[in-house]
Amino acid sequence: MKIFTDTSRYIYAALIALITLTGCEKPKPAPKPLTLAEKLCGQWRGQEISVDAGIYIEFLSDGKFELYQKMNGEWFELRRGTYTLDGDILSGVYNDQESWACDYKISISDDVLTMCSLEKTAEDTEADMTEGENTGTENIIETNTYIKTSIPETIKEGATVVVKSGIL
Amino acid sequence: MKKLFIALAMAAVCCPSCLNEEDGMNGGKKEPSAKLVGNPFGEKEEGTILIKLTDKAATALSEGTLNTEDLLAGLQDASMTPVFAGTDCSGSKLSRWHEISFDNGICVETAAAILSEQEGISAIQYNSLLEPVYSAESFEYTPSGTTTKSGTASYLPFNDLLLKDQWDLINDGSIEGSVAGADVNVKDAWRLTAGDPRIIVAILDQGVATKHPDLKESLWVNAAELNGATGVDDDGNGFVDDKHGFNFTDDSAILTYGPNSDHGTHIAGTIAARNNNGLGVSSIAGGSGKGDGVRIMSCQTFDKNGETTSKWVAKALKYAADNGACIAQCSYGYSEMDGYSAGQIKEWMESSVEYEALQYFLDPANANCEALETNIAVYSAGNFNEPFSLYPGAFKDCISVTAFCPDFLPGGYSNYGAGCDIAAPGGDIIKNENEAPCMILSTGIMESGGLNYEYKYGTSMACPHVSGVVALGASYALKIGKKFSRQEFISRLLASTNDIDIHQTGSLDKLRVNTYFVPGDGIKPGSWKTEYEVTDIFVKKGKMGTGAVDAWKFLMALEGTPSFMTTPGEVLTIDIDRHIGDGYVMEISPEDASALGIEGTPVMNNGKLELTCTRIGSGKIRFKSSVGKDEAGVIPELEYYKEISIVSRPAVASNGGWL
Repeated sequence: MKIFTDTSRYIYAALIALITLTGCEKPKPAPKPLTLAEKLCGQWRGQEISVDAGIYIEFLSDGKFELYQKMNGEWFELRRGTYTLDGDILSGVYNDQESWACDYKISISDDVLTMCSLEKTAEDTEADMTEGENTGTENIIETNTYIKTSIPETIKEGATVVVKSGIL
Repeated sequence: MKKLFIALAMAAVCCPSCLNEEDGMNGGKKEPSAKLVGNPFGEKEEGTILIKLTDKAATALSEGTLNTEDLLAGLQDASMTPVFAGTDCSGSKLSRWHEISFDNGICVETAAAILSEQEGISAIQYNSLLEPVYSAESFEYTPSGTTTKSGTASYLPFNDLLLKDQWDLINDGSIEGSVAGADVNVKDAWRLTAGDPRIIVAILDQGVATKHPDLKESLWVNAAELNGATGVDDDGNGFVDDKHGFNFTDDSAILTYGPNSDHGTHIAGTIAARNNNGLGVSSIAGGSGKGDGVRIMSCQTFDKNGETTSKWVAKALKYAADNGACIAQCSYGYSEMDGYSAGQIKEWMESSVEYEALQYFLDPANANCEALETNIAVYSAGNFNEPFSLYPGAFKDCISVTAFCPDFLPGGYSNYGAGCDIAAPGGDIIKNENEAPCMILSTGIMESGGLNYEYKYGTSMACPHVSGVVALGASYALKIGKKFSRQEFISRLLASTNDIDIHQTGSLDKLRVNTYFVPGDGIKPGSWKTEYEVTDIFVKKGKMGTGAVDAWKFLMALEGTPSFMTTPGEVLTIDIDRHIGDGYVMEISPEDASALGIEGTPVMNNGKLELTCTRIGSGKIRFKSSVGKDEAGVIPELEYYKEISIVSRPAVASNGGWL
């Protein structure tokens, strides 16, 4: 025959209450999945784009981007501009008002950004000129991947800023 | 004034016979089977000689079936010891080398003749004492008077007090007669890296002063020995108490150095004196003051008299490879004597124990840096003002370094021409102490024995500048996660230089010095004599290697090749003069041409390359050249190359942007 003291009874009751309360706790809501736009924000390094070409891109949450590229020279050039993401179609304009070479269909998975260059059709070109809706069809002409990274400070600090077609 | 001579005097000797080294035990028929290799001249250590066993004899020895008594018959009280005793030579030909000790009653030449008749011996090499032959005058640094520069150092990246006096690192043209930029261009390179502690540079020289305040934190540390028991080979590498290297001249861990034997100390300072410690000199790869910086392994191969032997050099090279060094810094060489051709010396050297040890060091199996497929060996070209590099630097496997002065002109003493690969600051010859700032300032040992700083000149001083830049490059390669073959790495180094020939106009004279030792007469001791003479350095134009070493350009070259974007159908124009230079032969592989859709050979037009890609893709164009060409065809030239990559994309932004 078990004998319970008052103290142990209270402790036992408290334990039962605790277990009961725990068993009734509402499950925490699963974290809200990041949108494509949120995933895009960050710093990326181009992979296997070409032999030894250095490409780094940073997409900022305010719609701006910074592009560090090491082409035609010994060190990196920095180009800035703005981008827009319409669904999974990424487009952009440099600060010198020059548009990107094309729009990109993007996807992001496990810290890998895939950017598929979309060929500009005649409809696209006309749409650009009239600022109308893009009625062109998607035709992927190039695919490049970028890995999430931290752009080295030495590159950021040493990059030559390209303002217009010439070097600043 | 102190003088230090190092080199090797070659003289003629007879070679009893030369047969195929693989001839061995031929059923009792005794024919001379061994050839004489290495340095057959000069002073030889008596009572000892080096031999290389044939394959068969070496196998028999390992199996315990070699009759060494028969092998050493004819020599009294003879014994045989592996040159590389106590170290692992499995799988290496170095295991075939042995030292024979015998009664001094037989002269070493007779011993050589006796041993040459023995089956089982493929090569014989005298354990020659290499006597010093070049002069490197030095002056102690004084903090006042005309040996220092005045002015602020606010533009300097490190707080080392003497950096302002190191024109070889940052030359602002303030030394009278100097040219701004006549340096190794390391200031911007330091923004990327100042050296990685994983990079170990073995200094084959006199002992490095391990207590020097500007060097002691840059030393390689053998942790097992440092924390182990004295007198015990704690790490089992075959050497006892080797905490920072080893002294091969007396087979001990005690490194020796002093006022007249601080050559190794001076060299170590150029490579890795601690940077940004508010003290003394700066160095190329001595870190940024944050615990970084490459490490120095002192492999003492020269004794206090500046003498060495083939055996010591060979053992040091193997030690360096076995204990983690990826760079061998070697400010020494074998000079040529009248009557003996570079070809003959090359033949002797290629069969020597030290050359085989060098091959061991350079073997990919013994590579010690994750960023390099093989270790790298850097040698000085020589101080004889002769139109070829000394060996071993002249070998294709090595980098041979010539020397220039603060005015970008070749040193009057510097060798040049065949076998020479690259130029670096080596200092100028001066006649009085006031001109000392034209020499190279680095760590040294005073006459009083105190540890201080000194000026020296020579290709000995130029060589560690290249070793330092190589160390910096290896550090950067580690940082950016790239790996290079030796050819790729050396190509990028040789292709990343500055033209020094443009400074040579007309006929130019520089001082050169003849220094020679006058033996004593039994009453008075011997002494060194110096004679100055003027030499025309114009003959060195175009022959100092590919140009002046440039640390920044080299790191850029390691970072990546220049890439150029184009679209199919567009004519791409590339300024080759700017990106490549002249003197190159262009080539593109069929695969790359096909990938880019390039038909025919791209056209060069006034220094500009024009090409049209017809496909989307990427490829490389290579520009090949060579350095150190020997008109006689004996000393091999070193090929190197530059590359550019072409990226042909379907769409390119009109402003050149990637997106």
